[in-house]
Amino acid sequence: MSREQTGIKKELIIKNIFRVKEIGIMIPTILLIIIVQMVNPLFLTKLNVLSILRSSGYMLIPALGMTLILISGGLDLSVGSVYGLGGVVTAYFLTNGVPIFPSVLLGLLSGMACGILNGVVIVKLKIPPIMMTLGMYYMARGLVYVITQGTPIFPLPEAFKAIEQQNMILGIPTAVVCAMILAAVFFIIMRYTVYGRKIYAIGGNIETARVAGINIDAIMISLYAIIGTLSALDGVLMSSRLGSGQPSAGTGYELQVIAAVVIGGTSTYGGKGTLAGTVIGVIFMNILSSSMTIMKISAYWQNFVIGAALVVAVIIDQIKRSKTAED
Amino acid sequence: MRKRIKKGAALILSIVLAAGMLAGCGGKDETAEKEPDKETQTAGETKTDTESGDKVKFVFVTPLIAHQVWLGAKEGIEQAQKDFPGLEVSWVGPTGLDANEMIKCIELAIADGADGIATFGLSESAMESCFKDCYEAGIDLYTAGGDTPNLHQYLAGGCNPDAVNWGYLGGKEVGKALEGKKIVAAEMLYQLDSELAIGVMEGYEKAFAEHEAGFEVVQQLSSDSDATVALQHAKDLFTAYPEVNAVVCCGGECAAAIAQAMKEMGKEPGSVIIFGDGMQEDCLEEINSGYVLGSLAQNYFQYGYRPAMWTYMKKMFGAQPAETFVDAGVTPINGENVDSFADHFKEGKQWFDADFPDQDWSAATGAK
Repeated sequence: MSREQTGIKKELIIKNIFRVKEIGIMIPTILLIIIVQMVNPLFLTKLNVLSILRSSGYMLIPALGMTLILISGGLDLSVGSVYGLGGVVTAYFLTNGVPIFPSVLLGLLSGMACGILNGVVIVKLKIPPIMMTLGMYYMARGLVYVITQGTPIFPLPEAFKAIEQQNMILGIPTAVVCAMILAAVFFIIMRYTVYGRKIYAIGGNIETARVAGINIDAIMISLYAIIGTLSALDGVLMSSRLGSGQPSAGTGYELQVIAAVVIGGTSTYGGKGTLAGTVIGVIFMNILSSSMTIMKISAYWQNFVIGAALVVAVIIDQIKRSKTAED
Repeated sequence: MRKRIKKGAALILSIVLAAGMLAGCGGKDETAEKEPDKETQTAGETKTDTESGDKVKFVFVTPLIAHQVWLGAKEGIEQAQKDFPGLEVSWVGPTGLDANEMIKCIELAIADGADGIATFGLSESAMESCFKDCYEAGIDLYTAGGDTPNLHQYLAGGCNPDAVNWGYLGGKEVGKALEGKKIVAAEMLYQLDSELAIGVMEGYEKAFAEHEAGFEVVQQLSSDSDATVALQHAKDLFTAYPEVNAVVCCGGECAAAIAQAMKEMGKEPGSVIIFGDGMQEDCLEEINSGYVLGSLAQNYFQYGYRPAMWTYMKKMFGAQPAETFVDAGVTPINGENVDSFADHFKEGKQWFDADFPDQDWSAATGAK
């Protein structure tokens, strides 16, 4: 092969790489990993990588639901509160003699109920998602305090704690396995099913979707039910890990989840986004958060650095999108 | 037809939510409306102002209305209401740490004509103007659980731990556990800008400075009052600083979360000395397990009981406590006293005897 042909081939390979939708967030993620590893070589040890994967697994579970919601043009600010509610509902029933499986089910149902209520009010009563889910943010957190009376619910049965504290599949924490399975399921749904196509259609142009005969109300309610259930599941897993139902668990979590999803390339205007991007966005957020301490950055500077890194990541992603649009 | 159904659904939902709100509001005012239980009432008592109808209104403005540790103060004011006939107490405050919300609650209490108000000194700079308002309104204001040393001119008194002394006690315990070794410590605070937490850490470092083998503080972290955040930060800390042999805390959720981080990273109990804050059950459990060396418990019951008692005694008997600004102290908890440290926490008479040595408990409480 001549030099010219080799050069053209290399150019084509690079162009193809940059055509990948998620490359905009992959680049900052890789850069961040390199920088952190250079500053502290303990970053890429097996123990730390597992720790980051574990925290990413927790965030990914509700982030999958948030991706679907944002693609459909919706929003959910109640994720953190429902996460807390799922955990304490399960803990409450466990400490009152209810066996593990029904207690977990009740925790999940509490999240689903919150999600369904969100969905019904938003679609049937035409309340803006930001308002209804903000209301649910307060209501769910309020219920958490009512149930716990401000006190962690403790102790929880050993068998329940073992779900997250001990039972690892091939050495991978349970939360990570759950997140991976859920990610695969939702990936298939979004890519290969009519339901997934409808979600994109609703987010792309809701009126066109309506005219095309899509049952928007049913799909939106189902999406809010899904994110409610996923948030509660996350809370249940965290309760298992901590061995207690914590009243303040998940406070402010929704902002991190939304940031991870948006950084992963999902548009807040609806119609665009991928689960692969969300996975990378979640990993980026967790590496960013952990790296502050690992790089020994003063706690007083950490919020500033995190904010600056987020802005840089979004700018890189936006530049990439603009170039793709031009091409 | 559909519009009517939608309107009906909206109406029903609104009624359900409003009913929920009323149910929640009822709980807030419960302590104020409930008549104190009187086991006995001596006829012909010579208390000058205790004719029926004379009430003493006391408001406790808490920084966290539903937080476990502060609910101890609520118990304290409720017990004071039971002990002192005519005392009516209210428990108000925000659900999250917010100085502005606390200021609003104080201003409402002033407008409501409270006889006494107690609050946590979350921020001197933010709270100065409402403290001044309280003073100008002639209402006795007390700090409880956290002092505002530069605002004493507006206060009737205070029942606060000496934050520096608190940290100092904990630091000495850590020093004993690491005798002969350099202390390499990290500090975890519930909030980086809390004046109380900063004071506690000052105390720890003061004790560490007296440690013969020397010390180094490698990192300061915030838990944001969330155990899940504390857990992840602890894991990052142990990765970044494998040489850390002590983590000291100001925040009830920290110690158990740090212990969990140690377990997940395969660290043996005692390989890192954790010194906690407070007496949450999960922290006490970890003291028993050996992962947490100890903790320092504040008696939050005292923070509610004493200011309420002071307000009552001043209004009813014109009596002032022997000292107006008291060091509430902290109780060290360790493996030996973990089950018994709180035995005397809720005995109101001990403070009455200390604060009013010339007054009679029976006369004050109406007991025979």
